Amino acid sequence: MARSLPSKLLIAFSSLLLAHACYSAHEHSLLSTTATTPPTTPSSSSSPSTPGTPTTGSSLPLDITLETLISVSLLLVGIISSGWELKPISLRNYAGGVESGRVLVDGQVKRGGLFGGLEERPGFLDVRKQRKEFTEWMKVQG
Amino acid sequence: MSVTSLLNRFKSASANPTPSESLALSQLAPSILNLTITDSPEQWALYESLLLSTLRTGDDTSARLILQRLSDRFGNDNARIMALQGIYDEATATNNAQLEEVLKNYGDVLKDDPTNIPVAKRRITLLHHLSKKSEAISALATLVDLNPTDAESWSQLAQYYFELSMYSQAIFSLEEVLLILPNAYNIHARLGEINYVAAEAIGNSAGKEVVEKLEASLKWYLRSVELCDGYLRGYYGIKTVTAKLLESKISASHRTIPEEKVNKLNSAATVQLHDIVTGSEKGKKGFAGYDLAEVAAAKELLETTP
Repeated sequence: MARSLPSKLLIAFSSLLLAHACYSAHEHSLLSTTATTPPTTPSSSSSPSTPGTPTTGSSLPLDITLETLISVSLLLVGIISSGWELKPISLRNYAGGVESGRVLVDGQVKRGGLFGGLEERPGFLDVRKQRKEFTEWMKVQG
Repeated sequence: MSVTSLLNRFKSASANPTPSESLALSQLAPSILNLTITDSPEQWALYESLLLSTLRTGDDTSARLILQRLSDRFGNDNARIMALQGIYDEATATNNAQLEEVLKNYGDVLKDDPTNIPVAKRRITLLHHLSKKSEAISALATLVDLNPTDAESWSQLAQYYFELSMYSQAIFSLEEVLLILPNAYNIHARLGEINYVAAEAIGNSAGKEVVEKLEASLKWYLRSVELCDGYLRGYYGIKTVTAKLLESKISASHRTIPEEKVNKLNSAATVQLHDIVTGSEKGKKGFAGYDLAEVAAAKELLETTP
């Protein structure tokens, strides 16, 4: 899928932002555990709270939350606007695509369009006429 | 080659293939018949298409073998097999007496089971082939009475009426097709064509009736391009009809569509046709589906009417 340059940049930038947000969140959780556990457990062995779990009071700072949300929305916008070709959903486009050969049916160009059967009418096939046409063609070919 | 790829080759050909196409398809017969029978739907569809191709090219021995295998699998009393057997009999008949015999057989089958649609269609085709046109039409009218939702039959009925220059009946039949398949843009274009031919047939070219027919034709063509973007046949029709409407001998008093609008439509159609012709001639990727003969006709139209 072909991507335009601005959307590529947007995707790269927002991915970076998202990675940064993840990293910050991770660092923050480490920081809060190391910062809060030593004062509550000075003796370090007989502690009721297990080290490593963040205390209920420390939630994620607002800037990390915002960074995550913004980076995810930017990433979505970048992916959606990256210019891949959408499948036609209106009959006008689809039928026109089949007619001009832009849209392939079963992997190949469909002759006669979507409703070709109505004009070919295989049920009323005049086999003798076609056979005669063929013999005449063979005579011309020699 | 696999069954699927072979079947795709048959599918890409139309029901009315050119002789060279038929020959190429018919020559696939030995390789298809040598494949082991897997009893898959694709394989039987392939057999059916191959049967028609071999009959077109006169390879009757292969056709006999295919038909034999089909009837071994599905039985002789299957409606579709009966129709295929009928096609085989029609194709291999050498004189009119034999054809009459086939026709009689069809009649007998239909007497026992009037709802055998494939055989009924065969009988109608054979009647038409034997130049019994009015009989074919009345049989087809009975068939659409019996099975009014079969668009193919209505479309065929329109064709028969058209051949006899019974345009209003043909238009009625095609409108029935549109009731069943309202999006069939090619039928819209066909209605435009028939209305145009009907207008031509009236003769004294300035009458109110002529203008009415031409305007009806224009409306059908416009609907066809509305349903299908870049429809060559539709734009060709719009250009032809508008050029006719703009001719000086058509008196403006009968017209309901203002001249300015007709002019605009004419130039819009010219632009579209020009795009298609140049795109197709340069062999651009998005133009491979257009029929080359149609493109050539459009080019000629653009050259003769600026």
